Amino acid sequence: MDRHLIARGLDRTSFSRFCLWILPWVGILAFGIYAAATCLISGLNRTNMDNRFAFGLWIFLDLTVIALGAGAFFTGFLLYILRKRELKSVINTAVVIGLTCYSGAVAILAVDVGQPLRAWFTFWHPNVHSMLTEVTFCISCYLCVLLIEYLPLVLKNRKLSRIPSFLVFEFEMHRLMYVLAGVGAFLSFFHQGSLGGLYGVLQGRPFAFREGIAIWPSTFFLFILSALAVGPCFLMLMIWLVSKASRKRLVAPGVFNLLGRISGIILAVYVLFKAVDTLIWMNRTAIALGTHPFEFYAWKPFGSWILFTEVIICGLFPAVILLSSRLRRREPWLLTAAVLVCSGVGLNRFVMTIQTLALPTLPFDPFLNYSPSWQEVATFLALVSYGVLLYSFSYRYLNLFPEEQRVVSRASETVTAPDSALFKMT
Amino acid sequence: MLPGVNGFQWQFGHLVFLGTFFAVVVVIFSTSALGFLRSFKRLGSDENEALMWKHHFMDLPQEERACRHSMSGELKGRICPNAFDCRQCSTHRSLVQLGSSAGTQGEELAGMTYRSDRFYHRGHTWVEEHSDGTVTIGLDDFATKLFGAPDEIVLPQPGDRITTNGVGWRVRKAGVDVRVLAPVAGEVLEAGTPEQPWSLRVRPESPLSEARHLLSGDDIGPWIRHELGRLQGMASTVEVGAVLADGGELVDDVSTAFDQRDWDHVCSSFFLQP
Repeated sequence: MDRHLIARGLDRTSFSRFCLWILPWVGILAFGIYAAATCLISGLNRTNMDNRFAFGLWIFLDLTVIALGAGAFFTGFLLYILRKRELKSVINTAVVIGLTCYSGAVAILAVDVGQPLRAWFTFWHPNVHSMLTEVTFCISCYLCVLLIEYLPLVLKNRKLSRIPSFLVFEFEMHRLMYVLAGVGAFLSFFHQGSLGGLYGVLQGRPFAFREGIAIWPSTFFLFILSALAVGPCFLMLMIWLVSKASRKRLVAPGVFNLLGRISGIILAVYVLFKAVDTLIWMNRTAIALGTHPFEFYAWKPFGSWILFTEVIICGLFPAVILLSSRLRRREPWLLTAAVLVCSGVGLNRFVMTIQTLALPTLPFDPFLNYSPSWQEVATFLALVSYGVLLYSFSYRYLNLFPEEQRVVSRASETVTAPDSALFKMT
Repeated sequence: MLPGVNGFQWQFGHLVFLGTFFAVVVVIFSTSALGFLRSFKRLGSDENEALMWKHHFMDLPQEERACRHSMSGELKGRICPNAFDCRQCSTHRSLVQLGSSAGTQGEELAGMTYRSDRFYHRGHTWVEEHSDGTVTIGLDDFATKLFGAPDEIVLPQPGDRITTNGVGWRVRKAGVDVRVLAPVAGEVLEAGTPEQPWSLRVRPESPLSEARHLLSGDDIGPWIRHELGRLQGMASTVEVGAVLADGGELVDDVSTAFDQRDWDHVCSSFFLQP
C-alpha cells in the first residue's frame, strides 16, 4: 500500500503489520496527551511535586533523554568536523534519536513549566545569571538545529526526492551541514553542562553543591563528559535493537567498534574526574558546608551502594570493557557495556534530581518521599511512545541506514523467481 | 530585561550571554536562509536535472555505478566517479586514445539485439542518428523485455526540452512507476509512433559524435552481460531450468517473474533510480 514511499531495496514489514505495531503506541500517546492536558489546564497540583520536591520524574527523564540524545551532536561533530567518515552510516539515525530525545524533552518541559502561551517570557526576560536560562536557550536553539538536520532526511524520502525543488534544497542544506554540526556541538556542550551546573550551584543542597572553575561547578564538566560517553552507547544500542527486530545488518561491524572505543575513552576520563570530584566533595566541600558526606548515604534506600553502582559497576567496569579491543569486538560484551553506561548515566541523573531533593538539608528537615502521580507516569510514557513512533515512521519511510542493502539480507531467503521464469529455451 | 522592558539596564553579563545567544541564532537562521537562497538560485537555472541525476547517482549501489571499463575488463572494480558522464573522465579519454573501446560490431545475446549503429545509455535507452541531424530515442531490448506490455506510458510533448540524464519519459508497469533517463539533451519533435510507442524524435543540442557518455561498439557486449548477470543474481540463488549459460533467451515480460516488492527493486536497479 505504501511501497512507493519506502526507499528502494529496503525490506519493510507490510503496512497492516506496521499499523498493528504503532496502534498501541498511539493509544499510550493519546492517553499521555490527555494526562498532560489535565496538568496544563488544572495546574501542577495534578502531580505529586510540591514546593519542596519541585523536580520529579519529568526532570529526571528530561536530563536522561537529553544525555542519551547526545549521540546526535557528538556523531555530527565527529563526522562533519573531525571527518570520521565511518560514522556516515549512523548519522541519520543519530539525528532521529537526537530529535526524538530533544523534542520530547522540550514537550515535557513545557508541561512542567506550564503556561506554554507565556513561553516567550524566558527569551524576553532572561535571567542571565541562571543556569536554567542557558539550558532553555541552548535547548531551544539546538532543537531548531535538529529540525533543520532532520528536514533533509525527510526530503530524501523516495517520493519527495522526485520533486526537484525538494532535492535541490536537500542538496544545498547538506553542503551547509558542517556549520550546523558545529553550532549543534557548541549548543549541546553548553546545555549539557548547564544541566549539570544547575545542581552544582545549589549551595542550599550540600549533597549536590560542587566547587569548580570560574562560574562553572564541576558538575558542569561531568555532565558534558558523561553525555559524550553515553551518546555513542545509546546509539549503538538503538541500532542493535532495530537490527535484531528487523533481522538485518544495518551498519558495518567496524562502526560499533569505533563507537565503543570513542565512548570507552571518554568514559574512562569521566570516571577518573568523577572519582576525583567525589573525593574532593567528601573531604572538602561537604565538610566546609558543615555536613558529613556519609550522612547523606545513611538515608535508605539511598545507601552508599548507589555511589558504588554508579561509579564502579556502571562506570569503571564498562570503561574497561570498551577500552579492551578484544572484549569490544565481542558483541555480548560490547552491548553489556553499552547497557551499563546508559544505566549509569540514568542513575546519575536520578541521584542528582531525586536523591538531592529527597535528602534533608537542615536538622529539622524530614526525608522526603516522592512517587509520581498517574499523570506524571502517563506523560512519561507518552514521551516513550512518541519516541517509538517517530523512530518507527522514520525507519520505515526514510533511509536511516545508507548501508542497508536488501540484497545482502536476502541471501538466505526463499527464492522468489527462479531463472526458469526469466529465460526460455530457444 | 531587554530594551523596552521596564527597569532594563545593560550589564556585562547581558552583553556576553545575549551576544553569544543571538550570534548562535543568527548563524542558525542565516545558514538556513543561505540554503534556501542557493536552492532558489539553482532552481532558476537549467542545472536542476543534472543536479538531481548526480544526487541520485551517488545513492545507487556500487554494482550499478560500475565503470564501463571495469565491465569490459580493462579496469578492475572501478566505480564511475562522474555520474556516467564520460565526457569529463580523463581515464575514459586515455583508454579511448589507446583504442581499447573502439569497435563496430553489434551484439546478439539472450534473444536481444544491440545494433552497432546505435548508441546506448546505461539507463537502457538507445539513440539513433538520422541524416537530418535529428535523433530517435527508444528503449533497448532488455528494457522492452523487462516491461513486456506497459500499463501506461507518459511521454513528453513535442516542443518540450529533455536533458541528458534527466527524465525522458515515464512508464508504469505492474504498479511500479519508472522514470526512463534521457540519453541526450534536446528538443522533442515527435513523441511515440504506432510502431514504437515509447520512442522520441529529438533535435539534439550537440552532435552525437560528442556523446562520449553513451556506449557503442565493443562497450555494449560487456555491459549487457553485466546487466543480465545482475538480473539473474536478483532472481535466484539456485539455478533452475533454462539459464543464460544454456543459450536461454530472456522472456518477453520479465515483470511476471517477480512479486511487486521485488519488481520495484528490479525496475529501480536497471533504470538507475535510487
